[in-house]
Amino acid sequence: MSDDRDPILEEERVRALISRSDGPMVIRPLPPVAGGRSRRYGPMLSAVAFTVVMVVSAAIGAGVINSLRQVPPSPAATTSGAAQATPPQASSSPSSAAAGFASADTAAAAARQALEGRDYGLLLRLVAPTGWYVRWYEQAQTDPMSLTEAVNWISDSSNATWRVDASTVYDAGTSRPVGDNYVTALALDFHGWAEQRADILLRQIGGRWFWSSLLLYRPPPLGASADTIVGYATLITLSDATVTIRFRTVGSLCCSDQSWNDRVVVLRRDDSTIYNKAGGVGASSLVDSGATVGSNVWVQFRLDTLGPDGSFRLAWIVAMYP
Amino acid sequence: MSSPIDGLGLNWGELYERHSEELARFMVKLLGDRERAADLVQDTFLRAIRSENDLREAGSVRAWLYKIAANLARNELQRRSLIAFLPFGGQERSASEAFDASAAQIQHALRSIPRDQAIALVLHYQSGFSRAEVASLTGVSEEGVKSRLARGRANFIAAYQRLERGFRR
Repeated sequence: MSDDRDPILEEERVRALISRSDGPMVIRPLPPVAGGRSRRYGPMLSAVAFTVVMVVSAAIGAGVINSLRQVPPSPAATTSGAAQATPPQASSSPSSAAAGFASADTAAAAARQALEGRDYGLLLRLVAPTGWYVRWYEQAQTDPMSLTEAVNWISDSSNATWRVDASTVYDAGTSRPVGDNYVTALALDFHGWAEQRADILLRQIGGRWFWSSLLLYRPPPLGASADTIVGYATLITLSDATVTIRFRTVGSLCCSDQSWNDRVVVLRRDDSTIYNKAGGVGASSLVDSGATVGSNVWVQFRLDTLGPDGSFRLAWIVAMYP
Repeated sequence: MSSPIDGLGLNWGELYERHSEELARFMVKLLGDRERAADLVQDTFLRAIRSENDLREAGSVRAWLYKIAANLARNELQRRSLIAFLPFGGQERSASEAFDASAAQIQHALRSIPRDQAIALVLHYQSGFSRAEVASLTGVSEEGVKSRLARGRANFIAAYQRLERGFRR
C-alpha cells in the first residue's frame, strides 16, 4: 500500500470486493423445533456436513440398516453374506456379542470386504458401536457418531470406490486419531472428492476389534476459473527453476480441464510460488512441502503465463499426501 | 427486514427462509466454507430460538441473528486460526463445481487479517449495517468500529494485492 492512497477510492474498492457474490449458498432446512424450542440439536448440528448426509441417506440408509439387521451379517473371512451364517444372537443389535472381530487382522480384512464390496451389513459389525468419527488430516473433524450415523456417512457416496490394503496392519502410535492399529486405503469419488488417501483406524473394545475412526488426507479441489488450470499430477523431475509434472486421473477426474489429462507440463518456479505440505500446512520451499520426484501433487497455474519455452509459471503446488 | 418482537410470536420458519441465505453469505465470506457456513446458520437459529426472550433487547430480529452469527464466526475463526488455508478449509466441494479463484482470493484475504476487522468489514460492506449498528452488534464503540474498518480496509487491500501478485506473476 502506498502512503498517498485515496481513502475514498480505497473504500469503494473494498466495498466492491467484499460485496462480490460468492456464488450459490448451501441452505439446509431449519431443523424441526417443536414448540419453538429444543435442546436436542446442538451436538447434532456441529457434525461436519452431517445433516445433509442424513437427509440424503435417511431413506436408503435406514432402510438398508433395518433390513440388514434382520439378517446377521457375514463374518469377515467370507466373501458372501450367505456363505457362512453367523450363529443366532440373543440380540440383533450390532453392539451385541456378534459385533467386532477377534483380531486386528480379521477386522482389517472385514474393512476391505465391507468397503470394496459395499457390504453394509459387514460395516454394521465393523464400525464401533459408539464414538466413530472422521478427521481430515491437519484440519477439522466430525463429532462422534452413532453406529447408524457412521454407516450412513460411510455409505453415502453412491459412486465411491475404495481400495483397502489389508495386507499390512500398522501400529497407530499417537499421531493418529483414536485407534490401536490402522490399515491404509484410497477412497475415490467419495463425498465429492476425486481422491483421498485414508487410514482406517482399528481399536480393541471389550476384547473385540472395531473400526474406530477414519483419517482422510484430502487434497485441494479441482475447480478453477477459465484462465487457470488446477489438477492432480505426478512430479516427474525438478530443478532449482522448474518442476515437470504429468497430470493424472484420480477418481474420475484429473484436472479442472480434462483435456489436460496425461499431459506433461513444465512449470517455472519463482519467489511468488506458493508451497504447501499435505493438509494445507504452509511450506517455505518445495523441499519443505515434502514433495519430491514421484510424489502426487496438486498444482495451479494460469494459462496466460505461457513462456516462449513452453513452460507456465507455477502459482501453487501442494504435496497431496504426507 | 425487522420482524415484530413484541409478544415473541415469531414464525421461525419464515424468519429462516428470509435470513438464512444472507447469513450463509456472511459466514462464507468469513470462513470460505459453504458446508460449515450452512452448519453455523442452523446453529445461529437454534441459539436464537433457545434465547428467544433476549430478543426483546435486540431491536430487530435481523440484528439479533447477526450478533449470534458474528459470535459463532469469531469462535470458528479462532478455532481454525492455525490451519487457515485457501483450498482446503475442511469443506466438501463437488468436484464438478467451479472453483471461483477470485472469490476465494477475497475470502482468503479476509482470513489473513485480524478476525474482528474482517467481521466488521463484512458486516458493514456486505451485510449493509451502519457503523453504529456494527458497534452494537460487536459490542465496541462506534469509534472503535471506525478504527477497525480503517485498519481492516488497509490490511485487506494489502493482503488481497499480495495474493493477486501471486496469482498473476
